[in-house]
Amino acid sequence: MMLRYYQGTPMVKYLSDIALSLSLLLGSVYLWFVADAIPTFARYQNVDSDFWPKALLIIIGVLAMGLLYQSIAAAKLRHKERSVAEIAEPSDKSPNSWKKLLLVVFLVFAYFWGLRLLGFLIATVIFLSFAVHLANYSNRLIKILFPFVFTGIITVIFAKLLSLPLPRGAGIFYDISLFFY
Amino acid sequence: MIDGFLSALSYMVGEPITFLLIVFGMIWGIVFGCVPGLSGVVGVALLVPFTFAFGPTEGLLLLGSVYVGATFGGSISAILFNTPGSPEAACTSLDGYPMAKRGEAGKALGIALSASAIGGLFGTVVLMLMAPPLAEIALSFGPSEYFALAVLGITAIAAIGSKSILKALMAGMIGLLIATVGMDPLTSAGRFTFGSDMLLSGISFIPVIIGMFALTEVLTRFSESVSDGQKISNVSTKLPSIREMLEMKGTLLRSSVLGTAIGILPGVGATTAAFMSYSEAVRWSKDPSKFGKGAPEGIAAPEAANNGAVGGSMVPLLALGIPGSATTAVMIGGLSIHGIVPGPMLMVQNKELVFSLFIGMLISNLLMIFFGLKASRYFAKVLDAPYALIGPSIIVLCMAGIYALRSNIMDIVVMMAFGAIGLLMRKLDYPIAPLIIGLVLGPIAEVSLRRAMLLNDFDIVSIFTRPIAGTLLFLSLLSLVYGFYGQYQRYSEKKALHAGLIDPTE
Repeated sequence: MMLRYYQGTPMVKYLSDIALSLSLLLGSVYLWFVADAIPTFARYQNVDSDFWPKALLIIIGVLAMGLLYQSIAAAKLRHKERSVAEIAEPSDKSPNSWKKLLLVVFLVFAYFWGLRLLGFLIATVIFLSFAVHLANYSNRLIKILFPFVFTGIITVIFAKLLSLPLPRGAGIFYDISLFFY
Repeated sequence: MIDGFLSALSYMVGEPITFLLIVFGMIWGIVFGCVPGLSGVVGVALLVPFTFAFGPTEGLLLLGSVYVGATFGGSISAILFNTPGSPEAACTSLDGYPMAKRGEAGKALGIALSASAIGGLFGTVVLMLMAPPLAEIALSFGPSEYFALAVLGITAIAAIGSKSILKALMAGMIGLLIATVGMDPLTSAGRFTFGSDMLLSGISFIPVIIGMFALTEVLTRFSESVSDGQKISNVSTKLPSIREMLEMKGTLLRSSVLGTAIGILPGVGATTAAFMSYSEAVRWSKDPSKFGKGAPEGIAAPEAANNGAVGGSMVPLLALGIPGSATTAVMIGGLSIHGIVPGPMLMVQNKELVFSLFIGMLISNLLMIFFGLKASRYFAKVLDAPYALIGPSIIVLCMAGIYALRSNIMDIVVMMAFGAIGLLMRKLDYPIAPLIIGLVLGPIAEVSLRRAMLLNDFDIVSIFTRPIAGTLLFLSLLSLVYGFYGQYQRYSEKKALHAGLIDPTE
């Protein structure tokens, strides 16, 4: 038996597809009951408030079943291929860096809370300093200057040139922000 | 029509900021089109909140010029770095990069520039000629026709150019379902609000688009390490000679027409136009073997088509209120900030705005030649900017832009939630554009269907028997059949390929 080539899609991708299809199917059933509880009006009889959502939920349910079937079939095929393929060539897709992604997500959440508490100026400088550091940017001078310069430019454009509001934070930080914009 | 033009022109001359915004939009668009992972739709989405600071005409001119600039910008990185900055330029790299590699990068850029300008101007002229009469016809459309148009928008984007039609349809349906959150437009009953007063007004469109396009893009880039192709630098654009242009006249004309026509179809955008024009160029060529090795027609065809599609996709937006592409769907967000609803009434009530956009797009296409000739090498330098700086900057722009709209911190929460949903969709190969189109078309589709049924004594069949609505619904069905057939063909090819894993001769 000669093996020509084998391009692998990770099994976890198929399992995620199955999980999502199942969630969509269950979600559509749950939302059907939610839609069923929407108040109705005699004047609109057959085209009441729940008519359109229910129609969409039926289509979503049917599509979810189709996707579930497709995902299970693909996972089975993948399993079969795995048993015959001995040499796996690397996939042309870029490798995922989940750890980095989770850190970025955490940083975005922290930035959001920072905006509410510290205001735009301070929160953005802190966020950019951490983000640039996380992204392994090498130029030390730019790494230090960039958060301050970029925050300054955005503040001037938003608050001074376009007169658009920016978050001011709370407590003492609100007063500090008022000093600038 | 001439009155509309003169009135719009006098407005623009009286407000010189409009020209400044067009220039800025072009530069912003080329930069976003140029840098892989940013794309025109992200550029437009990020600028939507800024339009709040201007009038509707200025805002639309800004977004329109970004759209034009981004479509051309993608070709710079496709030719010089073999890394298409935007999906619509993916085809350009097939022949652009090989031509650049053999030392003719300037010529490749020149061909892309001339073809983009020809396609773009053609699309804009078609837009100017078609949108007003189509809007006039659309004034006679009833709810059945609008429902059918919305259905065509969803099915067309799902069926054409999607890897999995089921996933694309699912994304479209989820978009339609999200649009139902909030008060029912007919009965005012709360739907899917789960007791939250905040959700009664529905899910705000702009945070959704910025979250799904811009934030998702940054998160995706941070989760992947993307390798760059071999870079070609220090190049100046060289326009092709008249003789070279005449040699490509057939390709240019065919691609401009095809691109504009595909752009007009609701939901189908510049990427599909570029790919179809490229394959047509190969099919019509006397020597198809030269494609993929740096053939001038291989650059001219997709560039003329994707720029033609820009004008084309504006036709359904302005005349019918149906977005012709993901970018025009995002532009609806820019209009909604100013309380403007695109559609046939726009031509009657806001003639000045529509004609200003026509003029703005013409200027943008001419400016494109200037920027392409004089500044391509500088735009290429943008690619040297590390994503370590660009990515976090986009997050800051997303947050500040969303907050600036309504000073509502909850809009940021919606943006972050949809950023996460967008990331999940990307990872599992669900296309985002159908969801956005579904979100835009949801209220139109629902209200039109329910009104049509009320008018016809709840007889749904009557919708299918109306000539225009019936034809549009038949086209929707046809697009689905085409999509499923294409997917079946791809599946068969894949199956045959897998069968080849085991050599039967051994």
